[in-house]
Amino acid sequence: MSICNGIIKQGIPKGDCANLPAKGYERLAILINREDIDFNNVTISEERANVITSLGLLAGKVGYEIHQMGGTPFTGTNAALEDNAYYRSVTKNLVIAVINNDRDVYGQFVDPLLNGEFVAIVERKDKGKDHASAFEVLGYHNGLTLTALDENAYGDYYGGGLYTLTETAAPVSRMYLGETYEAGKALFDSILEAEA
Amino acid sequence: MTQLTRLRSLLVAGGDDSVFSSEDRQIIEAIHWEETGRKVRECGCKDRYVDAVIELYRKLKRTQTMTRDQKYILRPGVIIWIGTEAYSRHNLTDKVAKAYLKANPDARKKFERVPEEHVSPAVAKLVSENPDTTEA
Repeated sequence: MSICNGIIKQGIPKGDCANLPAKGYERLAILINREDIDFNNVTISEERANVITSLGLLAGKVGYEIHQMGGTPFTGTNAALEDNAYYRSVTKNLVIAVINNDRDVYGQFVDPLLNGEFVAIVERKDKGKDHASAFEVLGYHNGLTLTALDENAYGDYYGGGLYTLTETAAPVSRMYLGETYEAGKALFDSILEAEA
Repeated sequence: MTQLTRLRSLLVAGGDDSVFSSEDRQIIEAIHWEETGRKVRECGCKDRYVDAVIELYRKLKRTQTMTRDQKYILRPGVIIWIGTEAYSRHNLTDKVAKAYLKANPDARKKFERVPEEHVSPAVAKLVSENPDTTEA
């Protein structure tokens, strides 16, 4: 496993006209309470250690839709090297903007963020070859927790705020969802559309 | 299913959302969420509930059963492959699920709802080896 031993197995191929680069994320993502994941029903691809092929939730649990507006949804979402002395890893940030002041959103979404632990699924605009790299899972290894909260009633977030969720010490730069776009989309929809 | 048939009958003569009472609209919203996992389309238009009922009715005709009547339901976040087709909780029919579980009894854990006949192989073996056991 190249993930474990630091041995590369592929170079960077020449540009592909059928697969032009694109920045950013689609407007819809999913946030899941990490404790709602049924790890008995989580499977990883046998071919690719960074591809989740099943992300089952416990019975009756659901993933929650995160809709973003504006030209650059989830702007500020990024990843950076965590340069530890003994083992290097990746810090991943997911930035969510809330635009409106809504007591239900603050009671049911923002307040639980303060002390909860989460897993998110985002869809990249650059979906890669055959669109198979479209869906990315954040917080799979160590969970996402709230690391920044920024509210300013006269700021760019209007009546809402900006909330940064962070996964630290992730051993893998990116975890993808689904072996193909079709599979990733089916998994995404089945979590998003689960019965409440 | 009865509710949906009744709601569909209100549209026989055509019309827009005005044919539905506020109670009807609540029922449509509940069934739509239950069956599709999505809220009724949000817009300022006057046929959003009509569209929702037609969509649900088409789904019912296609699947022949509503989610609340389904015997087999996959867990959210789980898909199963049969050949090159991926099935999730939203397109898996009871017939396909039953055949799949018969061929793959160990896949029971992928399901949120299964009839009692699909006990795990270990439990089935235990019960068959102890047929006279009665529940306390």
